[in-house]
Amino acid sequence: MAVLDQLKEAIISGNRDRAKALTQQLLGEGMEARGIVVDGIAPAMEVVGEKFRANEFFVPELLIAQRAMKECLKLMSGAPVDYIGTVVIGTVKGDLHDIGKNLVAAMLEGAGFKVVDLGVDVSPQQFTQAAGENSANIVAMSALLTTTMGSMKDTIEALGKAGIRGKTRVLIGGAPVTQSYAEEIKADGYAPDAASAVDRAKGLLAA
Amino acid sequence: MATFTVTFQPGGRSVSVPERTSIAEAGGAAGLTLHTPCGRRGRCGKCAVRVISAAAEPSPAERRLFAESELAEGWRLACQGRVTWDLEVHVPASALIVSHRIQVEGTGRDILVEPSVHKTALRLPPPDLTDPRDDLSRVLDALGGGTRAPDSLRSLRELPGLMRSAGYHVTAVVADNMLTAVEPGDTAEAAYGAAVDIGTTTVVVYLCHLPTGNVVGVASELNPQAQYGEDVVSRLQLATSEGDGLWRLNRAIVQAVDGLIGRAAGEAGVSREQVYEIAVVGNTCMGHLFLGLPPVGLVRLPFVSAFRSAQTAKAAELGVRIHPAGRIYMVPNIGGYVGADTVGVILASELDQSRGLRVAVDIGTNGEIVVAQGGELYACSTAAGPAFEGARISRGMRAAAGAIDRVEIDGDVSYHVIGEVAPTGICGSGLVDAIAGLVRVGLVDETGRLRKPEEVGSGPEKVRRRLTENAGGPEFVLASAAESGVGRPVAVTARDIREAQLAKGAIAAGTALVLEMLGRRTDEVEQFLLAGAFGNYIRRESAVAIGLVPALPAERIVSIGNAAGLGARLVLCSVSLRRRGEEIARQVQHVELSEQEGFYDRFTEAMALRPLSGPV
Repeated sequence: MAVLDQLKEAIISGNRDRAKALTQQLLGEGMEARGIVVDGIAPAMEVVGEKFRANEFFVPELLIAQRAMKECLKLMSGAPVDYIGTVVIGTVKGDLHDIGKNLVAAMLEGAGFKVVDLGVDVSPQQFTQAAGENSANIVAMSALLTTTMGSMKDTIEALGKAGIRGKTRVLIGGAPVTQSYAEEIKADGYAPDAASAVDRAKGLLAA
Repeated sequence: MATFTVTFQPGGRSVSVPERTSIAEAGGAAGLTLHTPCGRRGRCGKCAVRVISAAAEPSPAERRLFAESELAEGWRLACQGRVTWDLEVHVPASALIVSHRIQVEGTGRDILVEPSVHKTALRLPPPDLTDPRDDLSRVLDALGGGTRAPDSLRSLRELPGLMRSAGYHVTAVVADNMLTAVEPGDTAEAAYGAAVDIGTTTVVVYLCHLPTGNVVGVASELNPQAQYGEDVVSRLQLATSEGDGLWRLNRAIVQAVDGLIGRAAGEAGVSREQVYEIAVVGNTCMGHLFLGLPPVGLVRLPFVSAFRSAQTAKAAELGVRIHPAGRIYMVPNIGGYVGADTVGVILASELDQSRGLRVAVDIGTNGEIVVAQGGELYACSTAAGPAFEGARISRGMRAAAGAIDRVEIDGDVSYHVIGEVAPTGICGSGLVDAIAGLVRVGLVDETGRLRKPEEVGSGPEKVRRRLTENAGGPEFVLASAAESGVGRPVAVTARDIREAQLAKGAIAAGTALVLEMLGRRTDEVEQFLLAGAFGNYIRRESAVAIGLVPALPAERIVSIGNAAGLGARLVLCSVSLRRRGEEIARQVQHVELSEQEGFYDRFTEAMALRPLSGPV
């Protein structure tokens, strides 16, 4: 469908107004919110992710694409959407870096997840409580400082104590975080950037 | 009561004074203020004048201070000589208190020079049976004003030999009202200080002549800590991890400052031993690393520093080579990462004296923003990144010789290069100009995308053909390989534009957020000051065009250059401004942007390359 392709283009190029107008047009023509997300927004964000990996797009392009995407999602909030899963996400205690975390949250949302964003400086207790209240499939944690990474281990322990570790997958990321650290603290997955975070998250759902 | 006329040379000023008035008092009446630090007791020789007309018999104090030949020539002490007939007196410059003032560039303001360190030449009466005072008291009495004794043995050990070999003509070095050294002869003029601005990316040293406040030498270089981490957080992480991270970072910056002082001094023909004090500004993290203090609390929320108030230390303790008794004064920090350099900016811009609404932005790596509203001050830092200092930009460089600092794009591209040489790179102001120009002619869209050649059908050919692609991606050539001084084209790449967007988005968002917090609109700002690294004078039209600063009327936007560095100079050369700086640091309210709702959204909005209008 031509309009759907135009919507993808608008999101990829970060043209917020055009993306909004096209979404409204599609909704007006009777297209379901679910369809717009699955066939328009999610593929568009995947392209954005690929371009980021290919060093064609950098953080600014991600930010403006995400902004365009959010406008579209806003138009559809309230409409029944089959989320593919629920993710509780945040930057760990003591850390306030959030751009990376915000990008991951946006990409996950664009891919069809329900995302509960707890912000920055999030304690293990806060993660655990939110995971329980929202019946989260995934707890995603971000840290940019080696000095705050340790909080990820504490959160995994807290999930265990609360008895929900079995139902909740843990996905971690951030500049100092590595695959081996993820294995060391027995996290379920690690993603090096926002684009691969979506793939890992989908993979964790299937597991 | 008889009155007599005293005429002072040079200048011929004369006054009529009652009999027995001292020459010093007569001078005062004639508008000439003479040095009399010993309290007019004939003990320092500073008020020595030459009576051209017939002089009275010398007093005992004058006999002890002057040689026979000098007395015969008419040399007398103005504080001792009494007017008993008409006199003509020659007053040498050394006897006069002359106030020097520093002009603050870009404003109409001048500052009285009153440094914490000053040197006074003294002619001390030699000891004899009527005056067997100890050497130290002899000097301290002459200095008057409650000058304290030195706190180091070194100067005391040198004192006795020096006094005698110099025939009791010595120069006392007084720092913060304490005697720190005594030198033979009259070396009063040879007093220098270094004002140091330690930026995350650029370090600058201004060598100042303390009695006049004049800058006699400037040296700058990239902060060598960058090899350990380009941004503040990575350096903090290294400093707090195990091993010798803190020591390595400390050595790097101390050696850099030491080297820059040597360079500036060398160029000015000044020796290191003639530099008596260093005044330092820098953000909180730079301050900790320079002093070698573990920044353990600064690596995580709530960002707790080891100290906040002004710090003084002996230069020797840090390993900076100036005078052996030389001292370092570290301007106080404000809070969080907002530090001494922001205090410097406030001092330089007098933001603390504003009644209305004024904003100052430091277009540097940490993008500090200060808002003054009716006497209240607020400051935050935005982690803008070093794009405007030339770092992370493909052909970026500091504002030094070879940097393109001005760009015009219309029918073709024209540019200006610092030092009028062939261009080797581009600095912050050049980058902002280039981006503004590219947006204006439509080669870059508002989202910041550099268009491909095939997308740009119309427009001047000379401009369009500069759009090329190379290994790093699309770029716009400013200077061809032939024109440049490095055999390769100087260009602005698509990636460079993205880096600049990140930096300007952070600054614009921070500014909007703080103003909104205070319930003010951007158009209410009476004056918007742009400060930056050494040599950086971003053109306001370009800054407005790309949305780095609000779209205010031109006269309200002023570029004030390296305000932090000027703040350091002011603190070095004026004790009252030093005290004011300490007050300011206590007064400013630090705003932690990360705790403000909506920064992220505003940041994303603010990345667009178009003028800011109304609330962002």
